Amino acid sequence: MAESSPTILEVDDLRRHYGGVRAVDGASFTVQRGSITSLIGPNGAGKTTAFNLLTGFARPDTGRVVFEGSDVAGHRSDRVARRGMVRTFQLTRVLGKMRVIENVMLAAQQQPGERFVTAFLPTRWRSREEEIRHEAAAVLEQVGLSEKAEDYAATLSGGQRKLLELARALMARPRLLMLDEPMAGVNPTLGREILASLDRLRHETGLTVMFIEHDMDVVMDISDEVIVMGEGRVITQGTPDAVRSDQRVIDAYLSGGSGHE
Amino acid sequence: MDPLLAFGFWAYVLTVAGVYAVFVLGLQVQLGDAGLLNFGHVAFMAVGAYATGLMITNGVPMLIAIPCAVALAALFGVLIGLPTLRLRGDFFAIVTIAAGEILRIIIQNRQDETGGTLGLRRASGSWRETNNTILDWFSGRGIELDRRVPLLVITWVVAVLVALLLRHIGRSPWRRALRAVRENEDAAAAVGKPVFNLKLQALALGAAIAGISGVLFTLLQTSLYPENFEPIVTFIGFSILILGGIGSYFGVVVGSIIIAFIISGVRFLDFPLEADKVAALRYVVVGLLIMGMMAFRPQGIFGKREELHLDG
Repeated sequence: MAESSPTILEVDDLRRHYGGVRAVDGASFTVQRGSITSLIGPNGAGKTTAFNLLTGFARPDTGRVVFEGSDVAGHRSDRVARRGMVRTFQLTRVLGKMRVIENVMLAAQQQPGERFVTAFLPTRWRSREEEIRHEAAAVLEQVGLSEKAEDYAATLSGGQRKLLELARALMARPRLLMLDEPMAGVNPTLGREILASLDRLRHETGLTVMFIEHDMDVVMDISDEVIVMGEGRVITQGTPDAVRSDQRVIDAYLSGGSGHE
Repeated sequence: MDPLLAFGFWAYVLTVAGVYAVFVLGLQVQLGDAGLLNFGHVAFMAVGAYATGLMITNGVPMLIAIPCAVALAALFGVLIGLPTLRLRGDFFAIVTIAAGEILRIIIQNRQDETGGTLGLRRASGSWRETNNTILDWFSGRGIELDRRVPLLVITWVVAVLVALLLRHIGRSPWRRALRAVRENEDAAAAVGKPVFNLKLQALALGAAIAGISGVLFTLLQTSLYPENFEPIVTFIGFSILILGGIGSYFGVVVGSIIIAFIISGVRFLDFPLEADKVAALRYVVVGLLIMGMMAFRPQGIFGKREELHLDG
């Protein structure tokens, strides 16, 4: 059974070229169910492109993306999300002219009122909508945005937008939560609180979390596994301690454009 | 008699305003809710009008022809949307204006069926007789109505019903998903919203509403000509939308009345100019009005100012 498999995501020889640039050049790795896995690497290593390929925001040239036992490579992004692989964006994408709470409520699944015909029949969706509103309020509480619930999302600061992205992704009740540099621009104390609450969530609900992080130190403490990318390939995958002492990783960080920041 | 004092004339202008109001409510769904920049909206009105006219002149009963015409307009929306809705906003705008023109030129050239530039006569079929029956019914009760009143009332009842229907789904999760698509397609897709389907539904709903305005237009004009459906109609629709305020259904109603009075009313004012210059003058007036709006009240009469500066 796919459900009971210890591997939630298996990526096999993923490739995507843009013109002459091999953004992702044969990446293979696995993510264990219930783990916190970090994807790290220097600038230009192909981390965000890999995320795009996994979540349907870009189409791989070749390769397999086996999520929960079925290949989702090349599937539309909204389908991948409904299957339970939900991502956030490094450059936040808030719905500026909608309220903060609406941003979060949007992400709820199983709302029959989202279908065109059902929209005309409020009795079919109103009670679910109340549940969603309460759930969204709870998620906002969790990321510390309760006070902003009725504000337009466009009025949020950069750090708050990161939190809103996270809240929206959590609201979708993902099985695999994919976070693209979620801590950049978030105040460190709050960042630690959020990491702790993600850690709690995975123990309670079996959530699997995959991070992209530029800065190794941020994620080393809480990661079970670390995947290191460089120049479009996976250099190594292992425990934080094993990765930290791997000479290839050290070389990649020293040679691979970490001076671009 | 001085047209400014004639009730029948103003009844006509108000009916035109009602037809525009319905037309622009369709645009409001597409642009205001889904963010679709549809520059070919008049094509859906043309489908509604010519489908009604062609069915009626070929002997289809009016009560069957009208819902079929509206359904055909929606279907035409789906047909236009399927290949184009994956395009970026500005490309979509260009394709829709082209689609509208192609349809108009086809109507113009298929003379045997549509009458071409000579017009499709008696497109409203037995409406005149029905209208007379209504007037007789009232005069039998001692109420003498102008012959334009029944359609005026019908048009505005339809406009209000469409607006109420849109308000009814205004707080629905469907519309929330649609607004999310307008704000950021990637964000909507990332939480599992079917972006393409939502846009297609908005386009088809807006097209159906424009189709209804085409039916009303047919009843009003009785004959249809291809030049009734030139791109200027779409842009008058956009003027109404800007004037009334994007996002406001009530704004559409008020904007329609103002613009219809300018467009139909100006030519009857007594200017010391030749007739064709007066005809051009009304567009100058509309243009100045829009420029003034942009400068002093860019959110429109009923738009929300605070939403205007919220980008990103």
